[in-house]
Amino acid sequence: MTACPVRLAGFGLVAALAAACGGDGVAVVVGGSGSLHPLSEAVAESFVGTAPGRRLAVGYSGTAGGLRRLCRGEIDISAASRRISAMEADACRAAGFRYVEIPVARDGIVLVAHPSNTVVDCLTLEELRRLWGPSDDVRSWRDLRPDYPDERIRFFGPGPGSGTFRYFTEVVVGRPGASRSDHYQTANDDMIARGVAGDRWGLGYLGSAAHMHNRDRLRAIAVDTGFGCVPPSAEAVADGRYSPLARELYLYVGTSSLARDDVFDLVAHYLDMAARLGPELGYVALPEAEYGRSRAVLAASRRAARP
Amino acid sequence: MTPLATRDLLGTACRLGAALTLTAAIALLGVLLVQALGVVDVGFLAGAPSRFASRAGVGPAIAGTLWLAVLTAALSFPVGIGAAVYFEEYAPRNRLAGLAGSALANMAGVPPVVFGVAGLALFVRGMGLGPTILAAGLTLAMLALPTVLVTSRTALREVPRGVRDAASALGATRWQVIRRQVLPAAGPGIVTGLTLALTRTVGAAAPLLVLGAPAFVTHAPRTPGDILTALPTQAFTWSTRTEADFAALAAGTAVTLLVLLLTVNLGALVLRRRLR
Repeated sequence: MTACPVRLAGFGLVAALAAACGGDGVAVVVGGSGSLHPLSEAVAESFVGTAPGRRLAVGYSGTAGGLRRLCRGEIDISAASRRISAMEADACRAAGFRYVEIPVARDGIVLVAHPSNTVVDCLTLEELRRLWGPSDDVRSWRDLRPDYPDERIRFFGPGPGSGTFRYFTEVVVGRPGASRSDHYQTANDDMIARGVAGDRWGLGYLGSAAHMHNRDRLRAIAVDTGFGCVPPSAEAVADGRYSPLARELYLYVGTSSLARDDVFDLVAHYLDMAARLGPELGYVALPEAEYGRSRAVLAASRRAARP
Repeated sequence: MTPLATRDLLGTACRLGAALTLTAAIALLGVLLVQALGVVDVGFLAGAPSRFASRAGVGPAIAGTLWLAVLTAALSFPVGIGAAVYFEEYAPRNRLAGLAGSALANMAGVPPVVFGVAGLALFVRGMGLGPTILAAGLTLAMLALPTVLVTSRTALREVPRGVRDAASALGATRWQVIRRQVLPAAGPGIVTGLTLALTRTVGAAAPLLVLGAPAFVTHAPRTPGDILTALPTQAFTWSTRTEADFAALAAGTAVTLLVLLLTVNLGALVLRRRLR
């Protein structure tokens, strides 16, 4: 990889500024998935509480953008609501960037409707495919089922940069990214919640953390995957009945960043706190053995990163 | 209709316009203040952001906005005023200079978000600065520059020709004329322009959001190399949250920003009095 001199000058400038003004290096920067943002934010706040003076910046811009920025070295940690794709992994490798994948929690993708829409309470996977697929032949609820009202559906959902979007389209429509495109798109789950909460016949999907803190103004729709209607409860996400709309959430951590104490400690703290902070935020904790395995992976890659 | 009646009608319309403007301003402030009431206190001003609305504060965001104000002023004021002096006093009166001048003036009408996109490509990615205070300061300086230039040029142009001629007739060099006569005479007008440019720029959220200001920053920036956080982006972040009480936090942040900008205006007022 050829380094652009201007870029190097920029890095140098920032480093020099930090050194000149007595700053103890830069902050730990977390980006990526918005679905994981509430948990990352909670862990970050708890981390700063246990180690005052630690400097963290937690943002989100969607899984795809986060992974891209991670492999460019712009951020230390990228949250992801899906696994890194083969293409993204290749791009990282080509840039000479190494990372570790740390699963931190599970959640469900929740189909949400307006609370006063009590007609639609369960949808099959096939119906979801018709609703969200690229053919967009469903315009009103009646188009879906004859006994539904003839009311226009307004769709709210994440857009192409989102891991939730990619995951949902892959398992529901069958091809990642294949989706109707006339829906209101945003990377911010809260904006989806706000949209559906303000539309009597609206339909949206979002991560279960966003559903959790908007549960007073939204109604979750159960999903029938062939074994009856399953609501997106924590139990159903944990025991697999809510699959394929239940998924794992990950942190991707740059191996070179792991050599830094603050990054390593933050990820370790994440593994310690995910099971404690997650459930109240709408996540489902992984089995404790998984966290143990991740701790081992973390320690090993730190040893490798620190000669 | 008689001319007199027309004038009456126009007068009434103007009065109505004034009343509406005043009502809008009062309503805006009122809504903000009512929402912000009970949010803005010492803990809020000094504290760090939190996922618990009751504990959240804007300390880091205030520090970030102060940094941005200083950087924007330091980078855009000298360059902008210098360029204004060049165009008004030195530039040849030809087509090319006129074209360059009006092209730069038109930049003042370019929406802030466009500068954000340019800043992202130039400073955040191109120079590899990342979403830092420095990258944001450079971007905001670019945003402020056209306004500084246009207002300074106007102020310089309002200095009577006679002042320059008289000073030149007494044997002053061109630079002496500018330094001793023109700039002091244009001072109050320039300060007004600088204030306008600075407050408009530092209050803009869009360019900072494009640069990638993270939603949750736990610490106040200590150097321009630190991660970007600022009051307008903090207000935006909180306003998108749906949990109760965060709307009040957004309003509190907006009021804090307003007070900060009012202070800048007040400082400018005092400075203008001094310069007169």
